[in-house]
Amino acid sequence: MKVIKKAMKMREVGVLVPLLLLWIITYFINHAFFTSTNMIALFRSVSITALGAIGAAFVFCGGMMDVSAGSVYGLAGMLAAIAMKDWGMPVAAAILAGLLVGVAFGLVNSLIINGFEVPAFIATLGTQYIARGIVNVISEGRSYTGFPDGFNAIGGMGFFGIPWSIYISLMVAVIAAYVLKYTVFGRSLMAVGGNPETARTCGINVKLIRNAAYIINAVLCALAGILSTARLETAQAAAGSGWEMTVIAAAIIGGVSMYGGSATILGAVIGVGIMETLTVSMTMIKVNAYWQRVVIGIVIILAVGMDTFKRKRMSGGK
Amino acid sequence: MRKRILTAMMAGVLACSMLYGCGSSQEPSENSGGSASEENAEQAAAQGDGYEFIFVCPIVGMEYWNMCSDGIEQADNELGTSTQIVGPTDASTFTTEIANYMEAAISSQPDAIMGYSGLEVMGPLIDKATELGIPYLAIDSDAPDSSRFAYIGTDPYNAGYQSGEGMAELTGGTAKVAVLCSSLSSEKEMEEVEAFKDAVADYDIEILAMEETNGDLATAVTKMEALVSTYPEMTAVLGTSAYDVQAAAKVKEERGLDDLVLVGYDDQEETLNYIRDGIIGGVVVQDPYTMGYEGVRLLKEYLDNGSVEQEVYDTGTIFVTIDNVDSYRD
Repeated sequence: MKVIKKAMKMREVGVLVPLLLLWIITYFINHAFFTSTNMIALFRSVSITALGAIGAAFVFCGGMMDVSAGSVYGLAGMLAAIAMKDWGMPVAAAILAGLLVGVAFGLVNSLIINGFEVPAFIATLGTQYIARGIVNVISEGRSYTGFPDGFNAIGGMGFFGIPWSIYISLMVAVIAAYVLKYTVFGRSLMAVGGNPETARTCGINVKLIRNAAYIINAVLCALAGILSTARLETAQAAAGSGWEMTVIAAAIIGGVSMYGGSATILGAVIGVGIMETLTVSMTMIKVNAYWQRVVIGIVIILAVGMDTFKRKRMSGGK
Repeated sequence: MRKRILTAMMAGVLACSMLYGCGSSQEPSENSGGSASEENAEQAAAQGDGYEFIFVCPIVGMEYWNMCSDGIEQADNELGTSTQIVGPTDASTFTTEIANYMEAAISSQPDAIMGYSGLEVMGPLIDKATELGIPYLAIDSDAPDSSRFAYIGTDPYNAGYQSGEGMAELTGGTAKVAVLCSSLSSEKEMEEVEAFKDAVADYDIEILAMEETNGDLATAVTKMEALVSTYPEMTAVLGTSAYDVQAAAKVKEERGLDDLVLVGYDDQEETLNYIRDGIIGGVVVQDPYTMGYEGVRLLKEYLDNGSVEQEVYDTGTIFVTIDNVDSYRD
């Protein structure tokens, strides 16, 4: 009983409830929902988007903002594709090139925000345009396909018929959760997000911590872009358009505070689960396509509302 | 918040385009045309007809629109005109952002504008351009109730009808079809779907469901997977944009759904490969190059003569299947 009580107090439970409700409702209307093919397909899309939400959790946790995620995702996938197809680079080098896009944009974002003190929203809106622009310049709008098998395999099935992307994402989530909760860096990031002035007086290098968060975030977005390219066996110039909004929504649904100082990786991943389930469920429960966005909007608000209500009650109605 | 920033940015773009407008009286505009077109433009300007046009493109950088831009560039070179290509780069928000680019295009007062017109927001803006004396040509998708002087592009009804006929032929006239479309707000896509329905009305072809994919391959794959799980009775899929039919092909291949018949649009290389492999049954292919080329020619003709011969120019479509996939371009 104690265990259950303790579990109920965990922050993540608040968002797990709407996710499970969504699953159960979908299952009752369409029994095909819990088939292994469908679950694998669902978790596969969750695994890729989760990387972005984990990145967003780091950024939000430090009290910051990033709207360039979708473009970095697109650019990393495209660059890896071009590196293989046009420059004849081996698979590993192409993946590395894609990840370097993440490092570069993480650095640029943090330089603009922490160096020139441009508000994060504007700075990353700028880099969002820049990264998408570079995608268009280097791809000339073409989509790339026909990659080496070794690259496509990364987006394909791994052990036990489960896609590699799920293993990769799981590993990243575990490491991220550990870093955020148990390392000096993670705690400093929480402190910076909670109150940068206090953090500074405590001797934390606020800028350095924030820069690191941006780089982690951008690298994770780049990784997601590369995995998605491998999974679809196609690099598309428009890939990841609007992805940042899904990622931000997922993180917030998952209980990551937009005002900094608190974040949970598990929560963010569950948030992604809700967003991706919605896409699938709307089709499976045969909601008319014209109404789907309306329903998705309502569910997002309900999910966050339920969570806020639960937390308020737990903290004694504050 | 986002909207406000966009507004501020558009104001910036506007200011720049106004400056650009002032500057261009001394020197011909610089655009993607390169030096050859600039020289031509200069020559033509000397002859007094170096018209400056703006093309309001729905998604700059997309392969389909690049083919259209190539046609525009070729026409600019030959006719001594210069066309500036502007537009959103983001597929997910282009339906709203395109209006801002159209506003900016009007403010920079070119000799004429051509643009993608099949969105509700475009109608009033087209009328505004015409009122200010800037002739407007609808390209690729039409706004028949607006004051555009003509439309050039695929007749969506004919294209949609062709997709229906193709579907009937490939399925032997019996099918349960799911539709993947990139945007429910696109009049063109919806008209194509309506025409598809008309074409298959006399057959035993039923539409099970329609899903929106935002023109994003990853979303389209997710939707296609959900469709496969939800409708075991589904025997065919119509994808009304290039990525939709590719997504269907990917899922068909992955899940070994050999009997599923796929019909779609556009001839991207990957789509053609799927047709060669027998995964996609057929696609309706449009001709964006001719749209761009003829579009510029029509703008010039309208400015020179005050009118053009027709109100609607259909650039036509071809239904590409395994039988003509390697010869249809000839």
